[in-house]
Amino acid sequence: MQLYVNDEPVQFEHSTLLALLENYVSAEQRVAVAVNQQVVPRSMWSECVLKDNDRIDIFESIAGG
Amino acid sequence: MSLTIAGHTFSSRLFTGTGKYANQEQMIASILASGSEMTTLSLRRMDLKSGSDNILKPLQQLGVKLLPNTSGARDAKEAIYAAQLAQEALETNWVKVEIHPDPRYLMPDPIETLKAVEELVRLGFVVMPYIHADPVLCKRLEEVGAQCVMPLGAPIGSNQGLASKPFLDIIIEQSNVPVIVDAGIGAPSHAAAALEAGADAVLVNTAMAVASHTEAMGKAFKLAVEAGRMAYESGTGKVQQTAEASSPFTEFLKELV
Repeated sequence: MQLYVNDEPVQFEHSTLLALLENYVSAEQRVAVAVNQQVVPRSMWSECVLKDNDRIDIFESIAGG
Repeated sequence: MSLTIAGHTFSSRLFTGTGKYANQEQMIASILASGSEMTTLSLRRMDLKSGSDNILKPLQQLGVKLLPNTSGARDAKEAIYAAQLAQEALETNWVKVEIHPDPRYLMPDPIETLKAVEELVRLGFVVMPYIHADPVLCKRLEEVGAQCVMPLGAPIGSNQGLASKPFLDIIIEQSNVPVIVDAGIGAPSHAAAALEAGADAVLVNTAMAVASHTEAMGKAFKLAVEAGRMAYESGTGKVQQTAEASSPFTEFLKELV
């Protein structure tokens, strides 16, 4: 199916968010993930089933005032 | 001497930001020297190619409380989304709400801020709103449950100091929640002046981050904030137009005649 990860088009054949994120995020990395602008808590990644054209956004902390 | 916000007690009244430092070593040294116990962070979409700049680890080692901001949000909806993302990324329900639709002056939007704060309080966040030095808005934010107010001294990063001083004085006098002067503080003397006037704390970023010696500047701010607070607690004298002798010299002069 066609997905968008931080606006990048990605072809992905597995179904869960957890499987997708294994390609981008390490176990110890503290990130926030949203699917179609809905935040999905880390504990729910394995249960979150993706569908065609979903937009996945991965956020991290950076320096800022 | 301590300050309590939402049940969390801080012994330092200097909050800091992590932006604009030339490198992480300078940032850590400066924040450490400042004695600050809470520092702000922003959130961005991860760059999938270059990877993470990993700012969290050194800050966690430092043991400071992390305060995510909603920088980049242009309205209440975006700020709420940013707060929810930050809660997930940083495992905290604290958030500094800043909503500035205009990138030139970065003036906080009062209407969107009030909306966002009301909703975030309802969602269980500890909300620290960055706003203009508007006494009416500060009361409105207090009424909807903001845990403190963060009025600006001057435009963000402008180093102009307490340009809004007459309004900060009103806010301080009226507020039932801590008043943290944020933005515009360009020198330790500005921070001291804010604390002397009764502000509960200040938030400093640019002035520390762009100094030639960031670590020493962190220390200078620490001392200024401590001095300002001590002066406030000690009670400064009244300002008056006429002179008043500090020494009883009149008697001495009479004896000379």
